[in-house]
Amino acid sequence: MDFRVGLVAVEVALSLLALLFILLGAWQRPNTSPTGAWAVAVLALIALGGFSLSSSGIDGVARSFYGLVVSDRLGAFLGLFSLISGLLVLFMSPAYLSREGIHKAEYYGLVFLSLVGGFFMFKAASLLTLFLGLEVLSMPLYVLCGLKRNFGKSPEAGLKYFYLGAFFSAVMLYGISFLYGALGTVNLEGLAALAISSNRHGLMCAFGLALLLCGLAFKAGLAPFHAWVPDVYEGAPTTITAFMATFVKVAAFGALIRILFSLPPDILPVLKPFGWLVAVLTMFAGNLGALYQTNIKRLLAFSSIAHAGYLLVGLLSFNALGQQGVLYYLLAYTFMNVGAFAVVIAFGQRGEENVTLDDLRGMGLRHPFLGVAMALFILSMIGIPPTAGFVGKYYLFAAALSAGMPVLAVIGVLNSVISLGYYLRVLVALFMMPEARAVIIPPKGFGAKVAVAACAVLVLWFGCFVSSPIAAFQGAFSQSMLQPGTIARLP
Amino acid sequence: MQAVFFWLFSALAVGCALGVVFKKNPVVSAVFLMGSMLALACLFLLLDAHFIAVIQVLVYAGAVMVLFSFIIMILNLPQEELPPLALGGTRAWGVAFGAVALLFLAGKFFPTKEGFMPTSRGFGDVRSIAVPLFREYALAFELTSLVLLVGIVGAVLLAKRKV
Repeated sequence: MDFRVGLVAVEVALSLLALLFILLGAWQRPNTSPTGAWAVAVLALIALGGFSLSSSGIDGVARSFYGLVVSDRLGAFLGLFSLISGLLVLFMSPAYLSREGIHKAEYYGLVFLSLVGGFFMFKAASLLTLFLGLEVLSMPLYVLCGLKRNFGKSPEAGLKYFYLGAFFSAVMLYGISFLYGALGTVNLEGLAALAISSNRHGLMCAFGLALLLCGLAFKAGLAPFHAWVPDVYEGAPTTITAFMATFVKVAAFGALIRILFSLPPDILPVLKPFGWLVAVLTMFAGNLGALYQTNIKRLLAFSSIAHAGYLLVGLLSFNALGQQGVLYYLLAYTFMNVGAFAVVIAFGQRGEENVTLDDLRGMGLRHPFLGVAMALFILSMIGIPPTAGFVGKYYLFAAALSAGMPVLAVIGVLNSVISLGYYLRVLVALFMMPEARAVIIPPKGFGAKVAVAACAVLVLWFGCFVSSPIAAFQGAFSQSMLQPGTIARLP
Repeated sequence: MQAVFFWLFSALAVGCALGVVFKKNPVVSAVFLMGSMLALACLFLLLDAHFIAVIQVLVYAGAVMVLFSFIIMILNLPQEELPPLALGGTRAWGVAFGAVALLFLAGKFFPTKEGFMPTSRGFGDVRSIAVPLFREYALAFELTSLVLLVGIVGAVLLAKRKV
């Protein structure tokens, strides 16, 4: 029997708690807030974060469940990022959910189940675990997106995300079935036998791999599969938007890392031009689309598409700098994005009011704490030192340069310049415009302020103290199931 | 003895399938479809595929047919709205595709001179599916149960009026 339950302790704990919250939801009275559930959820995430921090020190790779699960440092880091994202989102949840009248215990259960799915994706040693993890991650999000039934755009977001997500899950599964047909296995290690030129199953392999990558590109919001992002991010409850923008992106990129680094090196030159094109398309689609937005949730949605493009640049360089950069940027991106959405929540009013750029006019001076924090997050997204976003972007573009892709790096920098066009509009609205409203409704939500403060401190911290996380991330790839030789053997 | 049963259930399956197509009342058609599926389950039994036979009854004759009947009753189609049976454009295409599929299958599965391959010991019984499902793929099985759970909870959460 090959069941080492210790390897999936975090997942089991999260699942059991999720079941508890769902049960609690059945006894919750209407128009009350499940404060107890919230407290338990926060404590549990802190405890699990501490647990995974202490156990991420284990060097080497452990496998179990008949080759379905692998535990390594890469998975531990990605899991930690997800826990941080989940914890920050939980902090801003109660005030927002009560304001919108959707504060239910099931909310926490679904968020936890989504985290469970992500964790299994990070620990996937087989495409089967990867796919099921993705489904466990996505299903709760479909529900959470449509949670605000009285707000017209929320059911639309939920339904749109569900249909497109189901479609792309099917596409991905179709691809996996082709790979299984060609290779006779769904283990990630089996992918090393994949060959699209010499093998007699070459066409099948190529087709399967392409479909699989399309499915993941959809989840990551990469062009040309990005069209759902603005609509879903706008319609979903803002806390869930923040959760999706950070956690789902971490999960999708984690899965992409797992698959791309399991491939045999002779496929990568074939794959790179496609990746190059997707990265360029994604960056332009995100940044050019954001220029025309007035709703700040939509604006941040387009900016998240652009950030996925930057991340892909680092991933495509396939060198140590790129790997560190991707992990660093994912972490920085989590802080700055959750922080920005927390500010949006703090300024917002019931029924998704007060979320356009016009509404934000002059609010930065009226509420200096939130205003300055938002400015910090925006500067980090642009990539201005001393913020975490700058360090991340520096590593990503430096990786592209050292991998011999100067054009891609130049396009990335060019896109950062384009992004000034809309990021600065937010700052101008916050600080340089006269106030829009005669009566100012003070922003509410203590939890959102805690999240904003934490994110602001962390964005600065990771912008200034770079060396120790970078050193830790360097170990993440070499001490994982991904063979370190893959990178060295590249042309 | 086996041959007798084979011809009996085959005739039943094909006859019921024809009934599905030619009966005008959708409820009657649905019942014929169920009969066809039950006959198919018996054919699977004759082929030593016990597990598939049971699943055929449980899933197709059971769950899927209940769903069909519900939808037919909810839609409540008036009978006179159904078009008369004639070999029109769409139907001609259907018949053509059906004929091609039949020829293809007949060519593929018609017993060759060597006859069919004998099955290995334990082929098609529940054990050969249950053991991998609860050992090698136990984790995947549990993950699938989480997906189903979320589906149920989500449906209640989104559809119930006052939660």
